[in-house]
Amino acid sequence: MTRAVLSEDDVLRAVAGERAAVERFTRAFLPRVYGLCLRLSRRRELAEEACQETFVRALAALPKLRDPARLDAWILRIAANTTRRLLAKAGREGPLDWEPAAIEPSADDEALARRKAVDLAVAELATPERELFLLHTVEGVRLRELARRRGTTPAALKARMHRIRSKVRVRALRHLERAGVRP
Amino acid sequence: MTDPGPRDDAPSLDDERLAEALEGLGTAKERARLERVLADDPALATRCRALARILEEPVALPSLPLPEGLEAAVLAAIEDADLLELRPPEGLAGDVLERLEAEGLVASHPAHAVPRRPLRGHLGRGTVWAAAAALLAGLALGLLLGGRRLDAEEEALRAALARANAAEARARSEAEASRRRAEERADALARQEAQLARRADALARQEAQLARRADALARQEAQLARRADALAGAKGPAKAAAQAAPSGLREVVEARAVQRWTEDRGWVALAPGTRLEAAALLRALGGAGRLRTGKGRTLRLWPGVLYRVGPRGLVPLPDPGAPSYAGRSLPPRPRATAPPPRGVGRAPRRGDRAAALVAANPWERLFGR
Repeated sequence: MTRAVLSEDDVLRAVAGERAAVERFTRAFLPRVYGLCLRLSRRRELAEEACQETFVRALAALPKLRDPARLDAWILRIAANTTRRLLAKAGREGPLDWEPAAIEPSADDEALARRKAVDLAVAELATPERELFLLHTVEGVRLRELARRRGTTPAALKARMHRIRSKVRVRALRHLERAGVRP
Repeated sequence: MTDPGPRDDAPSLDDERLAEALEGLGTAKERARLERVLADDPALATRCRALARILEEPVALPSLPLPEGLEAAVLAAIEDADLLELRPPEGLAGDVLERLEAEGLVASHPAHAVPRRPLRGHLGRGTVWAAAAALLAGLALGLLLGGRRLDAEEEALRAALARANAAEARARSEAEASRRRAEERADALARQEAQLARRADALARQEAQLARRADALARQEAQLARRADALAGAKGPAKAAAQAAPSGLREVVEARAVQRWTEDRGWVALAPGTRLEAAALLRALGGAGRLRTGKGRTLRLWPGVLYRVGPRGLVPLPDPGAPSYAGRSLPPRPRATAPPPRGVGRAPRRGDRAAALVAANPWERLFGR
């Protein structure tokens, strides 16, 4: 997964509104933010809107960021919150127009099939579980931060993460079985 | 019960149901133990699945053991979060920048504008290629004409752009400052208006209060006038005679007024300070010798003594010039009734009861029976 590489100077310039720095800031985080928004919402249009809203909110609140070292986790949390809010606003209207790529037994090699299987398994999770898995396992947000935001303890989240991983494992293996993939 | 052994055609449970049931089964320790037992005994696992299918209930059973290599690879993929990378659509970065610019978070900068969407979608592929070719041709022509001149122009343009940005920032700050000043001025005017309104209300209240006081004073004045007329006593010729007569006759006239009032109303009301000669008063009263002075009190009149109406009623005045007063003392005050004897008509005091007991039977009190 591509990680954002931004210097402190870039961030300061972006806060000041310098266009080039804002562009670098946006391009550095856009793939991760878009991937998270799309995987959470499973709607392309809503994911694009969530992306725009996320960067607007992030740049407006960037001067208040307490820990610049956790900038990526901070902006991904904003993305998740924005997506959740837009999803609640949109309700059940509009069909899901995005699904992870299916496994093609004849065309995919083993590694690609594994990645697709995990992707499919994550997409089958419930939205809160999917958000937790994506933020913690995929994006590396610490359990302590997630627990603080959710008003729970890191230990409880750790146990929940274990159950979510089990689900993902079982479902990914099921997809591989169905596709007939063997090591 | 004999072990039928593993069968290839044994019915298997739906893996999804098994997974869900496994999630809801007891503690992790129990699940681990069940998995271990079923993994070690495939025959038992098959029989359990068949039994679960017969019962048609979700039973927490793991799926068939997969090859260890594949499971480990999937676990590694999960731990590494090895998901497919989702590329954002082209133009989304431009959309985001445009939105940020619209929100005022990015300085407007036409020299570095990012196209919002690919031009190809709007103009068509041929138009784009024609525009690109024209741009390249113009660029080549410009380079041929003089690269340095272009550089100088670019520098000048950048400097002008910087100046324009600075002027825009200044104008923005000035506009913000003027807006704040206008808001403060509007607030001050609103406060003054509210203060004036409060003062006007207070003045209106004071005016109404003064009007009420003036009415009350007018009513009091009218009442006092009526009371003065009532207190004037005599009416018509008697009042005129009283005003015209000398002091001695005035007293007589007043005494007559007293007599008339006494006959009419049964009591006397005279203004304080009025002097009355007792003989004239007695004559006026028809020789009764007693005069009610108000509040239920009566006073015995003595001939030859001058009386004055005081705040507590009639009091005798020592008048050395009066002929009947020479060589006499003031009439004695009527003494009140004598005090009752001890122990009669008064509250008992401490010691009265003991004294009565001792007086009744002193021996019994002293020595007992």
